[in-house]
Amino acid sequence: MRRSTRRQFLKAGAYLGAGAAVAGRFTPRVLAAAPKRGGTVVVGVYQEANSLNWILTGGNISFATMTLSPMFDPMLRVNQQSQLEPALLAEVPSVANGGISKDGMTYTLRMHPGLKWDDGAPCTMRDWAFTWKWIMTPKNGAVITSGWDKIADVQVKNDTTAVVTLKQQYIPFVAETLADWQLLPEHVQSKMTSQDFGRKPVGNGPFKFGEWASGDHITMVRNPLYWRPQKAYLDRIVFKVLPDRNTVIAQAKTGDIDLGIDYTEAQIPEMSKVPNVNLIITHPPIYERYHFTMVSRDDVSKPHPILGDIRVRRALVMATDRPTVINTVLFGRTKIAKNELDNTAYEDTSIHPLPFSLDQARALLDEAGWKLGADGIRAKDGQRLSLTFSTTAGNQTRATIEAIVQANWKSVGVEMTIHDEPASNFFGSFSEGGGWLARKYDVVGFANGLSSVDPNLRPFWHSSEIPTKEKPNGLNASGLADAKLDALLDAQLKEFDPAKRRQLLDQAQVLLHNDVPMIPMYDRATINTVNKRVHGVNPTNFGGITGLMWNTYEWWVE
Amino acid sequence: MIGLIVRRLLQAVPLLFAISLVAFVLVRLSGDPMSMYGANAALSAQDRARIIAAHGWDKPKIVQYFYWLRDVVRGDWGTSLYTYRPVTVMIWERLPNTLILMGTVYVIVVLVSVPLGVYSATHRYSAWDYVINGGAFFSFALPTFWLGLVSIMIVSVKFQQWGLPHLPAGGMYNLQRGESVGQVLLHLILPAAVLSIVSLAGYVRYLRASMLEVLRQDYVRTARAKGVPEARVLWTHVFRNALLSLVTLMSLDAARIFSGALVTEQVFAWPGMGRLFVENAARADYPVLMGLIMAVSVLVIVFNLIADIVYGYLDPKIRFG
Repeated sequence: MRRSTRRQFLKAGAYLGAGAAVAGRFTPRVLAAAPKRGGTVVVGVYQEANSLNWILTGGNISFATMTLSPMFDPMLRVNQQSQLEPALLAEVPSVANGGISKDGMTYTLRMHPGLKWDDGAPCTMRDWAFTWKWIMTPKNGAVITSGWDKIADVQVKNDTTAVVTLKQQYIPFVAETLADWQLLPEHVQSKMTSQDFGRKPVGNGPFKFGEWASGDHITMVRNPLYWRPQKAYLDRIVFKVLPDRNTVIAQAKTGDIDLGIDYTEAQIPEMSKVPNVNLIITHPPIYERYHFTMVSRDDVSKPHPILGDIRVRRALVMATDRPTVINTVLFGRTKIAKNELDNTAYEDTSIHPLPFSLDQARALLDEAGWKLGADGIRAKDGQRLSLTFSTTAGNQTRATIEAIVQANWKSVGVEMTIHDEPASNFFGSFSEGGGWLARKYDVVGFANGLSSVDPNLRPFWHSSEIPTKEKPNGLNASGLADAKLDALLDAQLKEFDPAKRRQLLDQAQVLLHNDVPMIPMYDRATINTVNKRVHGVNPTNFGGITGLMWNTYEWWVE
Repeated sequence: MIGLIVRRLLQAVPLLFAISLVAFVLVRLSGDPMSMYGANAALSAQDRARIIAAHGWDKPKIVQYFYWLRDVVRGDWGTSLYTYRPVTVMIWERLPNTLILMGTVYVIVVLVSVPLGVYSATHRYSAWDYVINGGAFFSFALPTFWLGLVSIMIVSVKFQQWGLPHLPAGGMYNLQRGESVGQVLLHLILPAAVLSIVSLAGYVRYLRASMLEVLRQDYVRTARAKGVPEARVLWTHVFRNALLSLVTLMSLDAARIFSGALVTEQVFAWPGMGRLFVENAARADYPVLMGLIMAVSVLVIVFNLIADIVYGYLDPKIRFG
C-alpha cells in the first residue's frame, strides 16, 4: 500500500478546492460536454420502413413511423408523462382554452405562424384540411381513417387557424388525428400518388429526405429551414436496414450502428455488458396477453364448452406463474399486466392481478366439476380438460414462456397443447381462418396495446367488435359480451369532463378484470441501445420505438 | 437449331401457366396479407373491411389468381402490398446485388473445383485425394446459417475484440465510409467465402466421379496405348468428356446466380433476391413472391435450353432434330 504523505494530502486538497471552484462556475459544461455540430448517427433497424408517407404506415408505433419522424413534426406531441404538448399546433385544444366547444362538436386548431416545408413552401392549416380530404378519398390508400372519418367539415380561417366540425361527439378525435400525427404538404402530395410521396417525402421536421436505397438504408440530412430556433446538430441520420435482431446486436457491439432498435427482454443481460453502449428501456402501453376463447367458434351466442365457465378461466390465471416468468425470462424488468391502459395516466392502480396460487386454482377447478383423472388430467362428463394454445412461431421469448405455462397448468391437471403458427397465418383475418381472429384455438398469445394516446378500450372488449361471419372484422375474438362494460365503454366516449371520464374508465377496468377474458401476462418494455458517443436521446414511454425519435434536433455525437 | 429453340419456348408457355397457378394457390394459402396489420387496433373494422374489399381478398382464391393473371398478361406484375412499389422495380434493384455475390461464388467454385476435382480423380486414393474428399464431405455437411454466424462471430466480432484486422459483419458497405468498390469487395469476402465453401463440395465430387468414369473408357486406354502424351490424354480426351456432366450442373446452377441465396443473404444482411423472398414470405406479400417465382422459373427454363445447346457444341454425337 502506498503511504500518502502530508504534502500529497495538501496537494489533493488544493486540487479539490480548485475543482470545486471551477465546477461552481462552469457546472453545465463540466457535467454535459457542449453539443457539437456535425456527424452522422446510424440507426439499425431489422424492419425497413414500408413507406415514408405516414398515412400508409398503419400505426404510430411502427418502424415506418419511427423512420419518418425526424422528417415530420407532429401537430401535438405526447410527452414523457404521456400528456399532450403543443408542437406544430401552438396550443392543445381544450374546453378551457376555447379550442373545443362546450358541446364537443367544434374544434378550433391554432398553428404556429411562419412554418415552412423543407422545400421552402409555407406550411399552413390549409395543408391540414387537405390532409383530411386526402385521407378520406379511398383511392389514396390511407390505411387508418379512425378519427378523420368523424370530421364533417373543416373551415380554414387563415394560415394558422382552422375550425373543425365533427359529425358526432368523439373524444378520441384529438388523439387519433393530432397526437403524434403529422400532416401532408398539399403543394407536393396533390401532384402525385400517396405511394410516390412515400418514397421521396417533403416534410417539416429537423431533418429532410436524402436518399433511400431499398433493402439497405434511408438517409436524411439536416433541414436548414426547420422552424425551431434550435436546428439539428447532426449532419445526417441514417437508418440501416438489417435482416434480424441478431445482426442488430452484432452491429451494435461492433459500433457499426449507433442505435439498436427493439431488442427482446432475453437480450438485456447480453447487451447490458457491452461497454460502448447504454441500454434504454421504456414502458409503452403495450402488453403481452393470453386471450381465452369464451364463445364457441361458429356460434358466438353459445359459450365455449370449457372456457365459458369463469371459474375455469380464473383458475387458469391463478395457475399461471407470472412472477417467475417476469423474474427469470424477463429479468425482472417489467410487471404483471392488467389491460391496455397500463403505463398510462388512466392505469387503475386499485386493481390487483390475481395471485399465483396452485391450491386456489385446484379448488376452483374442483368446484367447477373438473375431476382429476388417472392420466393426471382433469375431466368432466367424459371431456378431458385439454386446451389448444397458439402464438406466433419463431419468437424465442414466447416459446420459453408458453413452455412454463404449459408446465404450470399440467400441475393443476390441465393439458395445454401448443400449435404455434407463423405470424402471417396467426394474424390472418377472420374470413381466411386466422389463428387468433377466427378462434381456431382455445387460448392465444400476442401483444398489443393502445392504438393512440386516447384510453380507448373498445376495440378488444366491446361486444359489437366480436368477429362473426356477418361482421368479420372486429378484434374482440374472445367474444367477451358484458352489457355493463359495453355501456361504460360507450359512455366514456362522450364524457368531456376528464374526472368523470376517468371514473367511467376505472369502472370499466374493474369489470374487465372481473370478467377474466384473458391472462394479462406482462407489460412489454421497449428495449434499445444507444452508443455512448451519441448524446441527447431522451425517449418517451408512450411512443415505443417511435418515442425515441421526437427530439432528433437535440442529438449530437462526440 | 432454330427449330429446337422455338419448339422448346413454345413448350414452356403451358408449363409456366401451370407453375403460376400452383405457385399462386400455395403462396396465397401460406399466409394472409391482412396479417401485416397484426392486432393493430388503430384499424377499425371499417378500415379492415375497406382494405380487404379493395384488393378483392374476399373473393375465392381462384378468382384472385385470374385477377393476377389478367394483369400479368397485360404486362403489369403488380405492386407490393407492403411497400406499395412495382414488383418489377423491387426485383430489378435487388438483382445486381445478387449477381455480384452469386457471380463471384460461381466463378470461385468453378475455378477451384476443376483443379481439385481433376487432381483427386487422377490421383485416386492418394493422401491428397483423401484430404480433398474428406474436406468436401465436411463442407457439404456444414449448415450455411451456422457457418455464416460462426464466421461473423469469429472474423468480425472476436477479431475486433482481440484488436486484429477484422471483416464487416454484414451489409454491402459501411455507411460511415460510403459506397465504393473497395467497400463492396470488403463486405463480399465473408458471404462469398461461406457460400463457396458450402457449394464447392458438390462440384468437386461431381467432377471427380465423371473424370473417373471417363478414365475407365476404352478410348482412353487406346490413346495411352498409341503413345499420346498423358497431359493430352487428360485434357483433350478425358476432361472434355467429363465436362459434359459439369456443364449440366453449371447450367442448372446458373439460375441460382439470379435467384440468390436465401440463408446467406439473410445472415449477412446482403440486400439480394434471396432476402427479398424471405422478407416478403413472412408478410404474405404475394405479388412480390409471384414475381420472384415466375422470374426464376423462366430462368431455369432458359438455362436448361442453353445447356442443351452447349451440349451439342461439346458433344458431336448429339444432333438437334
